[in-house]
Amino acid sequence: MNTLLETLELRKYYPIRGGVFRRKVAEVKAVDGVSLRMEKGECLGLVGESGCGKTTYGKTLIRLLKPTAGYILFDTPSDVRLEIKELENSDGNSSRLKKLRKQYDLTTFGWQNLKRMRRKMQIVYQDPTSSLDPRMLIKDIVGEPLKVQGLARGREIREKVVEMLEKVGLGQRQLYRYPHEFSGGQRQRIAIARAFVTNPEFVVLDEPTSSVDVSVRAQLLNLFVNLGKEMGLTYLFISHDLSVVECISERLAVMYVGKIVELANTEKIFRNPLHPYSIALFSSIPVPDPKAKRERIILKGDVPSPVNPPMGCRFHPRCERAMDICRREEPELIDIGNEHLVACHLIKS
Amino acid sequence: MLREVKFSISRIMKSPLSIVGIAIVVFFAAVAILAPVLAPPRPNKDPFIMPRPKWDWSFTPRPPSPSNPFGTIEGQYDLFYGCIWGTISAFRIGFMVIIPVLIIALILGSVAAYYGGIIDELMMRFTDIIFAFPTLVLAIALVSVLGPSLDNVMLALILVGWPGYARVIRGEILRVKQEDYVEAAKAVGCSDLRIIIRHILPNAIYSTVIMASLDIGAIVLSAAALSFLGLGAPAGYADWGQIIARARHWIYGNPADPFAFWHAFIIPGLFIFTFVLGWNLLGDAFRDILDPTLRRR
Amino acid sequence: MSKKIIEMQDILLRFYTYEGVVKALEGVNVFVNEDETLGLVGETGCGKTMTGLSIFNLIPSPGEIEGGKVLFRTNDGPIDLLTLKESQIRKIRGEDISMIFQEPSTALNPVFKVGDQVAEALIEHREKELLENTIDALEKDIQSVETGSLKRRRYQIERSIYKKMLKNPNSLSMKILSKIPIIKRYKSRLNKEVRKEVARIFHEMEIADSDRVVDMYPHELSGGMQQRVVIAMALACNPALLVADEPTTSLDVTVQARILDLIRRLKGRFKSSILFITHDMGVIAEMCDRVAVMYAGSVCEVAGVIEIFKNPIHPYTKALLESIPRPGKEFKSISGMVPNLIEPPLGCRFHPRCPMAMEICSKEVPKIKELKKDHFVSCHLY
Repeated sequence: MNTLLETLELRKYYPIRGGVFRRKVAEVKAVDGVSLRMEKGECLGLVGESGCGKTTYGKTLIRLLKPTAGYILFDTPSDVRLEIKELENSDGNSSRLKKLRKQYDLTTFGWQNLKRMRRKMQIVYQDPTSSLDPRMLIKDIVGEPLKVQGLARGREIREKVVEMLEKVGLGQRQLYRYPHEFSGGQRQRIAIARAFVTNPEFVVLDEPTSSVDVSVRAQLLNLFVNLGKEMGLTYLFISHDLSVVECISERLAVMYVGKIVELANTEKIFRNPLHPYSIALFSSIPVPDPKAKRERIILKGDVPSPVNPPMGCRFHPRCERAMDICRREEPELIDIGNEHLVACHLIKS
Repeated sequence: MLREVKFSISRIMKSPLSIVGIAIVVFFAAVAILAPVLAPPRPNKDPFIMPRPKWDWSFTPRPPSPSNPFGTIEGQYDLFYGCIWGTISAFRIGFMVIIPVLIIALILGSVAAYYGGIIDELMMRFTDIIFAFPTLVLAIALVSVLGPSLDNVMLALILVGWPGYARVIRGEILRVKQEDYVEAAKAVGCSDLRIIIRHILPNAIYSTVIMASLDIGAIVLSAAALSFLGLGAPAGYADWGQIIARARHWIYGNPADPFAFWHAFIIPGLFIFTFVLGWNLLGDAFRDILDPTLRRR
Repeated sequence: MSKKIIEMQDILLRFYTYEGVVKALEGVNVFVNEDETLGLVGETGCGKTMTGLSIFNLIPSPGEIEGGKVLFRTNDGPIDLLTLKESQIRKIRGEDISMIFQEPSTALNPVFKVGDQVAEALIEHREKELLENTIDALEKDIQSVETGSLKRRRYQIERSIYKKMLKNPNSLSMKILSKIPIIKRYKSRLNKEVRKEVARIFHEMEIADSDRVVDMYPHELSGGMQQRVVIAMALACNPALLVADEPTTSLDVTVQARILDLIRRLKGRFKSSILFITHDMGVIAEMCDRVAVMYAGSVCEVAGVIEIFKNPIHPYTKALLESIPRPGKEFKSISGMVPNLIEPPLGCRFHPRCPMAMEICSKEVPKIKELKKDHFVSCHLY
């Protein structure tokens, strides 16, 4: 149980400004209280549909966005985490809590401290075309993190860059080229090289295989698995492609309108999803087998807007089995046994 | 990288107009550099004042002759000298207007784009106000206040010229700011300054460079127009606009021969025309070769 | 013996670009039977979208169709669509064959209401029917109003205008009338009729609140709704063939499930055949009756959907099926990269990546053979 990264009630709200004086009229609650734990060396999958907040969560997690509230605890020893949780529950304002936050909570870190952390946390984007600066040579793109973090100078940078490029399946010959000279799959490898060159501990993979072909997808997934093992990496694999997530992640979290609705071991959750949304989600994946029986749950209605999510359980307007309590009270994410967490009033045993 | 350079050159070679544009600009640059050789200035005198014989200041221009290869204009100034040194003037006007304009626009546009919010609003409204002024009218007003001289003309053009660029730069920076690679640079730990200099600006200024090279021609034309109106260079100054101004009375020639004084305005006119054309074509060529991503690969 | 709705024979497509000639389609042979869904599957750059577009002769420049036939079955027998003039094929586009594109947000014009865009398709192809309906409604109104009143007089004038429109829609007097400001209001009745029809079609597409949606702009609708509007546009005139180019790729997985469900049901109701282009094998398994696998501009294998999943023959098909990620198993990828179509490999275009390539594969292009009943393969191994 070696937790590398933990978020407690992480929230990210975007203000909507209106009127002549640009006052805040409403908020987009993109991430609304997400508490997840990422164990060292594991790959945690995060699935949900567009607009559910998974990309926002990933980016807030590594402080590319400024969180509105909550904690991000990176590499914090378990006793400290426990203490923080207790203090938060009892007295949110104690000076001890403040001190601990200053030391461990990424949401309080200033620019300098964050820069230090950035070496350890990285991200690979979905679109390899827009995530690489079109005017930079490959050697500069992959070498920039080393330069900025002060990890190498001069000749050493070049050597490390070549080493990294070779690890992702490219070579020295690509150093003096521009991104547009490469195919989509190769550009994604360059993006991976850039993210991994500082030897990070944690990498957010934001739909890294969505923009590439099926055959290239397998190559990239193999790369992630191999490099992950070799470099001892922890991944947060964000995707809306459930078939990919099923194969690469050990645990899986399902997100809906800014909140986690179910979290469990991947195999368990695919075999036996419990939350009505998860059930509908998994049933809609097209299976590449023409003879497979399809019991599709078609969800009625549309995904609610994160500006004004429904009262109570956010899923209740679309849920076939919604009860009275679902309209009033928001269900908590509870462990119903075997480390299977669900947020649903129907399942409370 | 070499491949890119080769590709650029091949692109230029493919488009005959680009080659023409480059050739023209190079030609004029050569003329400007070799001006002291082609038309030696008189010692101890301002090289930009065209020479004329001390004994003969007659009004009527004289057609080309061995002593004056292009002829003379009103007041017996040597046209050849005027055109050659006018090239330097043209370059001077062009660059001394466009560079300050770019600097002002860069600063204002970047600040507006970077800070956003109310600063952006205020700056853009200010830009709009300046934009609304017709260039020539403002230039005339300024020059009438400050007095006619080429420097004042350049100042006027700078003061009215920057809004368009500021807008473009702001727009480009806003566009680039939200690209993934800028965020990725932040994820790597780049400071804001580094991001602006290394990532945002190189991607944002290319369209500005293209605009600028197309604009140099327009600037020279505006300056020439102002000189023509008498607001720019003083009489006898080696500036194409000024020279054409002095041909105002001679466009109709005399009753016997309507084209008697063609040289007085056609030759300097040709210089202006070709100069502006060259820069326009060059601007188009820039557009084709500068952007590695816009090219059809 | 099912009849072929459309058959493409030996289509040759070339793009003349700065870098060279892109040999996009190299002898594509594919046909769609009546009332079936043919899946066209392949990776990016294999030419499946171009195959779809060449049916309509809508290849963007600098592309040129250099050879082949597109035989479309009409009441007068098969005609080669590639030989038709622009005016002739315009009649067919939208009415007999229509297309659904991948990105609904770009397929819809953002400055027009969605109802107007569907109406455009209706007016173009079903004007006669709509006019007749309008005239019928007018007749009823005329009967219900007292003789001699002003209203009746007005209705009678309108009726005569419409009857004229029906007989001779392009006459000069019609054109003039439709431009005069107040008089052209006569058209409002027709527009109402059209609007009713559009709302009805939307309702069939299971768009909730169809009356309200008719007046909305594309950006006000979600991705799923937009795609339904695009499907409505495509099916408005009851085409015999629907070409769907990755219609659900940009949608969420639950929305995709609903749209696919809708397409399946509509196919039954409208009795259209579908050419379904996609790169997702799961969608193929769900939607299609037959499957054609394409690679680098030519067709490698065509078979029934169950057959192709059970017994894939062509090495590329096999590799494609194997590369689908399966839990617990290692990810198998296809080595190498998709070839550059300016200088494609000689012979069989797949041979550099084929684990079973022989000498002949690099020299000769394999011909397509029917190995088993209804199972076609183009590979030298057979």
